[in-house]
Amino acid sequence: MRFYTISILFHVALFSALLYISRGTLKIVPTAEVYRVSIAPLPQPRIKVEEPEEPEKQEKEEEKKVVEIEKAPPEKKTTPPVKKTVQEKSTETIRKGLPDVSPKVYTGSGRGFTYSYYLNILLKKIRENWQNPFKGQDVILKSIVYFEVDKSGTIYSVRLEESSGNEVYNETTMRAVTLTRKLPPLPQEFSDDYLKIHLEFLTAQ
Amino acid sequence: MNILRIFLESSIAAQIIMAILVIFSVWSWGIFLKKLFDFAKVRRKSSTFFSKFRFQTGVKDLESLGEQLQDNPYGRILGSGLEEFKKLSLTKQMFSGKQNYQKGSNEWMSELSDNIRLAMERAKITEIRNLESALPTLSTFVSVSPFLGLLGTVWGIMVAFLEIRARGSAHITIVAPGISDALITTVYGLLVAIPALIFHNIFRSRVNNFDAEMDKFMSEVFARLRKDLTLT
Repeated sequence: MRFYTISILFHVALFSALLYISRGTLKIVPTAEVYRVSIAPLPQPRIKVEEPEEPEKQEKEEEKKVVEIEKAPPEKKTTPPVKKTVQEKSTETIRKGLPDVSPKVYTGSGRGFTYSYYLNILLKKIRENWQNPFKGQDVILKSIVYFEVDKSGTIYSVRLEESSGNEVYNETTMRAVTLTRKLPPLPQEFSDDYLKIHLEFLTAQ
Repeated sequence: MNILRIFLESSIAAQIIMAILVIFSVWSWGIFLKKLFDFAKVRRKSSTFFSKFRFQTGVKDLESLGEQLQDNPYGRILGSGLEEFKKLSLTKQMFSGKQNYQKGSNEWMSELSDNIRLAMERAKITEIRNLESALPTLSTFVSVSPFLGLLGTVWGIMVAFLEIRARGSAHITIVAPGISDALITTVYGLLVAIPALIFHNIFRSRVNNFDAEMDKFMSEVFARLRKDLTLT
């Protein structure tokens, strides 16, 4: 019987030693609750509706952008073909003027989008969301992203209009516009329902 | 890893299995210590016995070993052989006066001397049985402990899957407790089985050694007694 007593004492000593060794690793893990979630395609930045503000001085030299904005009246389908041609010519003229750091405003009806402070907000927000993968590098790339802004300032119909030839670069520019998602509402004085925007992204030169 | 915490947080089934395994462990270590002590005692007393046995040549000298005949297996085997030898000697004395006895008496005694060997064989079987007592228990622990651990493993995994089904989620916080139970019982089972297997093999080997030594000792004693019986 004494051998079994010794064995019991041996086990008690062994367990005590193990407890002593592992005392430092004792951590209280809070019970986690499980929530059902659906996976979002992209993390959405917080949108803060800003009041229209005065235009700020442009611009970081390495991120040069030109915005071409067309006013898209609802009755665009009925617009005479001649007017469309004039609009396209105007757009090309502006593109040839690259690099330009100021937003340019064009409308289908020939009237300009004169609310430059709004364009500054647009550029600022998109620039904040743009992670240029070639920043500071001697690479010249250009892509054009097309999107539309409705009266409430919501961005939709985002698509790549002109590829830079680099998939990563294209993806970052698309992502910059998609993440922005929401802009301040269009100026009340602006009578049309939405804007069509062709935004060029240029790497540092 | 905190073993107490793991034990307390396990399911009741895992706790029962672990408690049984702890009992097995205590039991097997108790057997190990007891057998270790017993074998050391046998070895010590046998060596004392042999140191005197080597210098005893005649049957009378062997009987003079006295109390040392009973405190070790070799002495008890020798004692049973001597007891049978005495019976045969008495028989021989009873018939020594008969007329027809002298004729072929040596052959007759030679055949009867097998009784001495058989008596020692019986004593050896008893001694071996004593030496290997509790080895079947160790063998049982070796076999059963991993299976008990496996039972806990299967149970834990089953609980984990039942939790997944009940909650409709395979989140780690749901699956982890069952898997933890599953793994810890296997660990306990192996921690019991591995030492028990080592103890069992050690003692099995020692019993085999004793068996071989006893055979050698018996043949030596038998040769001496038969010689004494047939020549006197």
